[in-house]
Amino acid sequence: MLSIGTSALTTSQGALSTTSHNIANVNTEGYSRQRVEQATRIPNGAGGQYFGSGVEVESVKRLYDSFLSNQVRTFTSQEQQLATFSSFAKQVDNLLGSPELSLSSGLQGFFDSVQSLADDPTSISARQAMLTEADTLAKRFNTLDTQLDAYNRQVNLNLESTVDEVNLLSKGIAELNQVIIEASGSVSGSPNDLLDQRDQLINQLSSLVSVTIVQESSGAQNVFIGNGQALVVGTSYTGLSTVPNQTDSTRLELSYGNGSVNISSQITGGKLGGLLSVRQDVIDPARAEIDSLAAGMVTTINEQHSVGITLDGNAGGNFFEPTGTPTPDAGNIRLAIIDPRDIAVASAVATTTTASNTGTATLALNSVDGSAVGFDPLTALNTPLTFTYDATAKTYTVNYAGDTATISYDPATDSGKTIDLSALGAPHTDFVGATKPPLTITLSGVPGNTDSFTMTNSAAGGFTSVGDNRNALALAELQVSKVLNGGTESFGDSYGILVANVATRTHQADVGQQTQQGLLDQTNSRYQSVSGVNMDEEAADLIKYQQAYQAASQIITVSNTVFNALINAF
Amino acid sequence: MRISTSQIFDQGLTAMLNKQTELSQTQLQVSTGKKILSPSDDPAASVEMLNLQREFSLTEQYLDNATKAENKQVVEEGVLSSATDMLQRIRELAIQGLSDTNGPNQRKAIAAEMNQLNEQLFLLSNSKDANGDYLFSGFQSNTPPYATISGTYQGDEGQRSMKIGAGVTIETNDPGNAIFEARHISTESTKVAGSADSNIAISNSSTTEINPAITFTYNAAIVPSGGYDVNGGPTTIPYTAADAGLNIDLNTLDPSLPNVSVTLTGTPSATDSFSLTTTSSVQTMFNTIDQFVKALEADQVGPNNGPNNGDFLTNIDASMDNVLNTQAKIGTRVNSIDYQRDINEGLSFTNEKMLSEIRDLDYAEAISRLSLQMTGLEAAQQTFTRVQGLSLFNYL
Repeated sequence: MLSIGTSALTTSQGALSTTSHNIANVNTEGYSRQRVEQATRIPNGAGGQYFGSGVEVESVKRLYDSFLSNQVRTFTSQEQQLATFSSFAKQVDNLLGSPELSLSSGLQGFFDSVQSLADDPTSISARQAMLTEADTLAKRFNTLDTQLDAYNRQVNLNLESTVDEVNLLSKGIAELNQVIIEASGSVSGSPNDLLDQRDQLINQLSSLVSVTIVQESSGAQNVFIGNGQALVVGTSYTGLSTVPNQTDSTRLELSYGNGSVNISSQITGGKLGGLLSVRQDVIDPARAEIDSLAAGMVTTINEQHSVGITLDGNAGGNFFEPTGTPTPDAGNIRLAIIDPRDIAVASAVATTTTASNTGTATLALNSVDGSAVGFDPLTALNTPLTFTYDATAKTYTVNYAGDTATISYDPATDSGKTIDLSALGAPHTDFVGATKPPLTITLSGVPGNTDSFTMTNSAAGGFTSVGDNRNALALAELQVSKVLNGGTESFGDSYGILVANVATRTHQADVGQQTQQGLLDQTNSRYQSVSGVNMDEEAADLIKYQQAYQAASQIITVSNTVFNALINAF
Repeated sequence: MRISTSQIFDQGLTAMLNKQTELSQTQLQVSTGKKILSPSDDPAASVEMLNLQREFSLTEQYLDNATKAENKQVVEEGVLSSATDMLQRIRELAIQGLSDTNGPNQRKAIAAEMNQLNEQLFLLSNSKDANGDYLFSGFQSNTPPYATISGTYQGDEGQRSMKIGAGVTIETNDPGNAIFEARHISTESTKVAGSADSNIAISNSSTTEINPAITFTYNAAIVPSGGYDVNGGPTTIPYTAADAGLNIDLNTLDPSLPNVSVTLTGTPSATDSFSLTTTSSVQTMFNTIDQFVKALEADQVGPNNGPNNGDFLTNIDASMDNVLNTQAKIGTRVNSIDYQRDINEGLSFTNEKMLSEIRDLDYAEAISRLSLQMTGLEAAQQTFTRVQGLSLFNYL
């Protein structure tokens, strides 16, 4: 009886101590509540009967569901990946959408200034204003590039620190594996608190990268990432490291161990996955898009500018730099001219109506195709291009240095007709190289028989057409022309598409993150409902085990009284 | 379901944090007045907004251009209407000068006034705009269209355009040669061959042009004693030296001939032939007026002094027509500008309205949302403290 009492006392004491342990660890991160599993001791056989011999602690059980725990890790990885993605994507999103930095308003300002210059071609202040706006636009490109580059560097720094963290956690898990193997070997019970600590480390690791856990019979847990790269095997661990990308040394990639093999593409989930995917899906495309927009703008504007003539009668040349090598991009785009007089506002082509014409016909230059090879605004059309009308055949004969071609023109139906001279069969010989004139003209009115027009170089014999604004108008027209992406997008369209792409990705990540957060919260509450400590429950347990303890003490007292009664009988 | 104590705490906390995030978003919306704070808030609407903004500023620029273009038209129109006034006064003076009631002295006085007006007209052709650019020299803005009254056009036929709408351009200048140069006719009788003794002169100031030329050839066979074949016959004018001063209206002679009278004088000889024709060319109005002024001073404005006779009136009318035509063109352009401006203002208004619908916050909705969120946050805070106060330990 005394022995039963003692076993009850010991067991209650153990239960009280476990309850206290639970209460003490109510706020310990990763703690799983423990419960004392009690069982009856082996009964004593006497006189053909078995008499109960008391109670004993069978085990201290850790209330833990490995399925839920795995789910928590999976959702943590996914949620963290999206959260990291979203936080970086939001920065890019805000950068592109900010009115101070947006290319949209930069482009608008630039083209407005081009139109104002076209309104007043001789005004030096309008020219200066256009240069200033162009400079602002180039600087906006530069700033965007610098900012996106800064995000890339931020990604690099984050990768480095996250990899350090991953390595630290792997090391911790390997060490705990060691301790757990040793502890499991020496006693029959399981080292619950050590298991909790290891689980907590693995949880932390799963917020950095997606992990797969394999349980070994020794009690150790092996941790794998990516395509099976083992971070922890038994008691040893292999770290990750960062290596510069082979083609672009400004960006860091992940490698396994101390090797140089790039495993970035195999890593998913967690902060690492988020960093890698935001770089690949948002930052890189945004940079590429802005670079290609810058390059497209440099090419298109330079082409148009270089076929025009400056205020001093020089060839227009390039408006933006650089061209060729290095190739223009958002980072290096800058103005090629500093003198406002060097803006090519005038067109190189002068059209003259022959004075003796009897009809009312007119011929106007529509555009000069800047992309044509070698159109030199100073020498093109030094040999004039003449157009002579034949009223009987209803055709204009185009003559260039003896080469002729015909354009059919019926004044009754064709007035306002636009003709692309480069599409004519001839003339072509010696016009620029062996190409046809890259000019588009508009014919209108009723020409008389033998009425003629002449196109000459407006700078030949000294440039004086300072009031000519046709090249500026052509430059201004580029704002609404679909010149990019195979003639499907204007500059503004292209930027709009970029903003939309980034915004959509950011929005998606945001929504995805909220969904994952919800899933994580749900799973967490299920996990907590199994493993979490409830204070009311512990309070009740405390009362229960305290009463059991008090009752067991009474057994000792009663056994003492019974014993005394026996002693006193003698 | 079992609920752990830390879970109760976390849930309460998360609820409060979420409410605070929502509240701060609404607060930011209210303080900026904008519905969309960053493009990812609503990607589709943000792109729509970018497009609308671009469209809006483009339209504003077109409106700006339209104002400038209209100003230029107004300046040009002002110059041209002064020119019309002067031309009208010159025409009146010319009629006086041509009138036979005026003697040489009066004609000199008229010539002086006309010369004064011509110089002013010439100065008008060299008008400059606010930038100091010549209005009427095409693209050659730094070159005066005419250096002197008798000079030729130094500009070119360039016409500047301005964009006043999507795909709509409007010319803002007219080259001077299209305004100040006009068809110039002169009807004269010239002796083609023969002796200097005879002459056929025009005797009335006709406005009829003679084209093709009318020829007069001496023919001794004409009864009774010789005369002139008109256009090689069969119409003839019998004439001898005794008929000197004979005045004949060609139209009454032959209805197919124009309404021109000629006076025949002197002694005809066998080889005599005359040609009566109107030559036509293009020249500046300044030159035309200047020549007439000089003729007036010299008192040589008789019917036979073409072009400084009735031809001058035809010529000055042609010049005036040119100026008036240009004024009409300017009027049409101003109308186009006004019309386009109406379109652009409409567009601009619509754009701004759509932009505002997408971008601007509905304050009533936002404020009520704000107060709802504040209530929600307060409720979350209160439940948090209440629930946290519940514990069995309080009763131990």
